[in-house]
Amino acid sequence: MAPAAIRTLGLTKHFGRVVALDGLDLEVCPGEIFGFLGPNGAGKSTTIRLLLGLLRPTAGEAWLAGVPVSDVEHAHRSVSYVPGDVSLWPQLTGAESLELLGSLSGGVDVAYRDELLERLDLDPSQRARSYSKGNRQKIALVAAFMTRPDILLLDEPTVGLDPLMEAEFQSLAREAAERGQTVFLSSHLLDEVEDLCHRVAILRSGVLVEVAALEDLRRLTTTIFEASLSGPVPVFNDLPEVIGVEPMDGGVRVTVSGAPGAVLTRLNAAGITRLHSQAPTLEQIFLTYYETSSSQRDAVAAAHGQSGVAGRGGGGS
Amino acid sequence: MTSATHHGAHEVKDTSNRKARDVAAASAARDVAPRIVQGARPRRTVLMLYARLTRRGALLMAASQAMYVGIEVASFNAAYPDGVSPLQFAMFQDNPAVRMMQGVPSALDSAGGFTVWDGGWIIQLLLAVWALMTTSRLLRGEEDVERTDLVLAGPVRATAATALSLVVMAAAALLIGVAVTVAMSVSGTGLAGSALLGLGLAGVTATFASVAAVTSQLVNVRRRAAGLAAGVLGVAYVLRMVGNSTDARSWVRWSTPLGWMDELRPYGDTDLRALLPMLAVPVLLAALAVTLRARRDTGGALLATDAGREPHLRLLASPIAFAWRTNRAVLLAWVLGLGAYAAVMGALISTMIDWLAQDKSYQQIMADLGLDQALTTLGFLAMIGVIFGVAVALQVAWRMGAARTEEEAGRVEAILARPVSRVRWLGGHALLSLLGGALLLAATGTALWLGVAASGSDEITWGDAMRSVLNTLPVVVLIGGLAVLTFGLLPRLTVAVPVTVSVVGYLVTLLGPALSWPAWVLNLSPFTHLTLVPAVPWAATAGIVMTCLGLVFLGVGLLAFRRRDIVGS
Repeated sequence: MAPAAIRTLGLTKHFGRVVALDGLDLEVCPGEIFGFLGPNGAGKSTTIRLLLGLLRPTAGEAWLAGVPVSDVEHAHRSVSYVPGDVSLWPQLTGAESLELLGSLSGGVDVAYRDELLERLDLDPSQRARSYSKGNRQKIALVAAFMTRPDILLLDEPTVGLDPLMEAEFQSLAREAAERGQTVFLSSHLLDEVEDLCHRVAILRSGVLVEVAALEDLRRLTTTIFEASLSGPVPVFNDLPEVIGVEPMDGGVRVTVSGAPGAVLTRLNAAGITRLHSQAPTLEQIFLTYYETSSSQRDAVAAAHGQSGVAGRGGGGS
Repeated sequence: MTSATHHGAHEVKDTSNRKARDVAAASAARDVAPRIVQGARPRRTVLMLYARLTRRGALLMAASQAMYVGIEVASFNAAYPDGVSPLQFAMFQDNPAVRMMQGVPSALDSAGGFTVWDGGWIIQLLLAVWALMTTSRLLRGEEDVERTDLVLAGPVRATAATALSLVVMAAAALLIGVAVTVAMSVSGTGLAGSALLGLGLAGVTATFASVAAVTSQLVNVRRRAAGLAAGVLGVAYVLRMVGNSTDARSWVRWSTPLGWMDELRPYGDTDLRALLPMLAVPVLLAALAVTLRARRDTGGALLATDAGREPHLRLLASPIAFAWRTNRAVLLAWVLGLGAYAAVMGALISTMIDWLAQDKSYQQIMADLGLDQALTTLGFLAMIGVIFGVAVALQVAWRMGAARTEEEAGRVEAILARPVSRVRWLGGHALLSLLGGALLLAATGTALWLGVAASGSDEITWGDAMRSVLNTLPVVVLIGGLAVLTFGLLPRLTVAVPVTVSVVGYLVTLLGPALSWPAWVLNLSPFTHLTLVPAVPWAATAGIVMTCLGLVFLGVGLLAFRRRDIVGS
């Protein structure tokens, strides 16, 4: 059996008295797009820098494609990295930066590189000092994908990209996974992770709080409906997917975890004059996730287990 | 190249095998044209990257040092067509001030020996400063902005990258050594001596590169790493002064990289044993740096802890207060460093003058050379005062460079996006750099006088010492104004222009008369217009004109800054 693309065992990093990462156990399969979620300072970048051997673990071990991460000469043959804030050598042009980074790891597919430049709409003849943040990010993305590495370690790679380019990045990542490449995507953008990832891990204050397939996460995902009603506010007590009801001026605010069909039926019966549905922000999900006790979560999951994939949490009003 | 291509092809085969394993994935994958694949050359690539980042500075240093020694040889041939007389030689030999500053003279009857003795110490200091600035940039500056992360995400060990950057620095040191060797032998000083001098300078350069490589492992942030290495350079210089003060202490010279050239003596009475530390110490320190690199995180440091702390809220209320807060530590370092140097110089003046008073024939020689002013206590003091003027002018230029760094890094935008006018921001920096320069001059004058007083002499009053250094204030204002003007017009050259004008100007005033350069060339240098205060009265007109010119430069620079774009790096 092929080794896991990424494996960590009790991976721990302390900076002085600060515990940046505490006993991370993780296994990412080859060909998987793995989302790595967490608020700022949760330890996402620390994890990636540990996987790259840039940081030395305080405790624990990690492997990339079965190679210990400390053996960078072998491990990095099959790895590419995109940092969240790309700094390039100001005196080099984009093409020269790509030549440099390509020569480092080797295996550049020149035709694919040119295609990437075109798809990301990047002019490589500019000097790096004149590139915007988004264009520096694109250089790093081209450099990462052009060698077709087995593992892509991406640390918030779309920060600074416009929505069109973000969509292009998502197709690149999907194509890579279809070819069997592993994508490890750290992000705090839930939409991006939802659109792309097969499985996600949620990190908080250096501790792994959940690793789940996206379907399971969606069950925990909530949607908030704000309905203005002409009739009286219906009762939702018997619906397990409803995890919060607040009265509001001329209507009600209902927080739903899972399929919203039953809730909408009751609201409709009460005469909807205006309906606003709100996708939960990552923060709300985290709050739901952390504030809901595990027995409630189990109840929610059981209630919707049979319905398969629940409705998407995203979307506007 | 063939093997590299082969390796690349092997990687491609791996990829296709993996595709074949997953039929569904393979059918979904796009068709790709036959690939042209580059092989991996990680070490070579890193080497070429560091060479590219270093080459311009290395070539500039090689060319300028070759030119410097060429000028030294030419000056010697012009000033001493018959060689230095045995009497003069003996006097340089026995003068503690000369010995401590320039070194114990050796083979002064030849242009080569004269160059090593007269210019060697300055060249070594310049090379040492360049080596530690460049090495800390490669090993810390790159890491501070996380460019190193991109390199180390390739199949390169951090230790290998460190070692390769030191290989580049060693090559740069060798290049500089070869340039000096060529310049000296072309000038006719003999190949053997020239080669020894070049090798020695390369050794000193490599030594301070490795010192900075070690400090770059100990502390984080380039400024700290370079500062710590500069501290080592300062200690090395003081040890050399101690080692050269009397023959009884000459063993101390072996303990300092700046003393090895005094032991080597390339052009006469050569001691080849001095090559041993010059070549071995850089290698040992480089090995230490690489070993230490393996023991720390990328971006981390062995000694630094960036733990949180209580906020210090003083001096954050206005742009000028903040500018003072961020630069006062550097100014304090200058006050202490230049002050210590001034005190040593002050303490040596009376020894020097007492010793001169006993040697009538030397006084005659100096009078014949037109240098009799320098033989008086106050004349000697005045010449020392001008040296400190150059140092303070350089400090003022670098201080404006700190404002440029704020702009380069984009931090100034956070300030100028607030209701703060550009003139207020830059004017604050300009005011602080000039006030800092004046403060530095006053501190230097006081330290000079304290040194004199400590040596038991009462020939120089505090007023004399102050006047000798404050004499240069108009030049400091002029150079400061020039720095602001450059900042306004050519921001990327903010430091380069005023520093070049200061150094070249001083050299023109110093060497021009001996080389019989025309008066209009000499008059271009601001230093030519200074008189030997306090031995003779202050040149009021020249002083006032230079001050006003400096203030005009400053004003124009402020206005120019209002009209230009903010430019990053």
